[in-house]
Amino acid sequence: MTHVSLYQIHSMPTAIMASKSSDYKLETAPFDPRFPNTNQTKYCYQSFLDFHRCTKYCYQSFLDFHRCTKIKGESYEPCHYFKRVFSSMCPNSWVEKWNDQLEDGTFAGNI
Amino acid sequence: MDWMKISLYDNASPIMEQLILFHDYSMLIISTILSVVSFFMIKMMSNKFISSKILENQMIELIWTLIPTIILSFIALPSLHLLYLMDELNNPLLTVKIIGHQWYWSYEYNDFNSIEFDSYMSSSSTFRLLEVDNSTPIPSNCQTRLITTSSDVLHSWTIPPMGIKMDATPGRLNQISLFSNRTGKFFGQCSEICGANHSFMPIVVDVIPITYFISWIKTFN
Repeated sequence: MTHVSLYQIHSMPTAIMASKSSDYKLETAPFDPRFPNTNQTKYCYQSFLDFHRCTKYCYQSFLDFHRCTKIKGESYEPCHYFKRVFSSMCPNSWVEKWNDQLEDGTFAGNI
Repeated sequence: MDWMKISLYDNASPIMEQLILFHDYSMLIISTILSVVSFFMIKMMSNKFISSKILENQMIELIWTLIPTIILSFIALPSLHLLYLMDELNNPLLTVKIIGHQWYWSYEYNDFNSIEFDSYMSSSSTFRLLEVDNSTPIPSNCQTRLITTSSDVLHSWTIPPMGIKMDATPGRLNQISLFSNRTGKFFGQCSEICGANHSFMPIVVDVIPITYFISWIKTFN
């Protein structure tokens, strides 16, 4: 419906301006067309998996191509996009639980 | 007794504005039907013409099927439109995670630094059973994504003036968008029976200008 987008048109610039003036950018996980419904459980879980897969992949590619250098896979910047998404979407208690499971090697997901 | 007590709250979001308009519009249709039908009923009972010989009339059957169909579609289409509009989320700037507990709400803001707090009912006499110790700040005129979940049983997070009611289900994240175009303090109460203290876990949302919201975030640095 047009009225919501109209509200957006005249309100979004204020939001952006306000955040610019104070050097603080309001930014959150964007709408993901894979999860268009009310139920967002998978979005949170998926971004958690994506983040860990990505770090694994990054780490692996680092081993393959830069075996001699001592760059860590975790410092690969694009991976941290997924980390931002899952921190925005997942309750902290879930992330804590999964991290504990990862440490213990009992995490059920396929990373 | 004022109208505020029997009508809906003043809207605080474009969605609620549309919901109120839709409510008034469908009430208009309903009262028109009620008046027309009662007029004909009284009219038919009070006159002396009796159509006792009519066994079949295809035309009248067709008319009294088509007219209600058309009227119903005039209610159904805007209703569906609103239903889908309420699910829509346009480029959110902020995500607020709302977690229901027995019997309090806790909130998490993780877009910047990790902000986490619990919100218990406070014993204030100003608004009995509605005030909380930590209210939830939300920037005004800003697309906000609300994620509700629960750590134990079903709860439901509600702010009536914004047209928001979303179940908090354990193990599931439910999303709803919030866009408030009015600043102020808005109240709600848990709307899913969740145990003994179900009535004592109110919700307070402070809609504040975005600059104030950013300064609030900065206090956590």
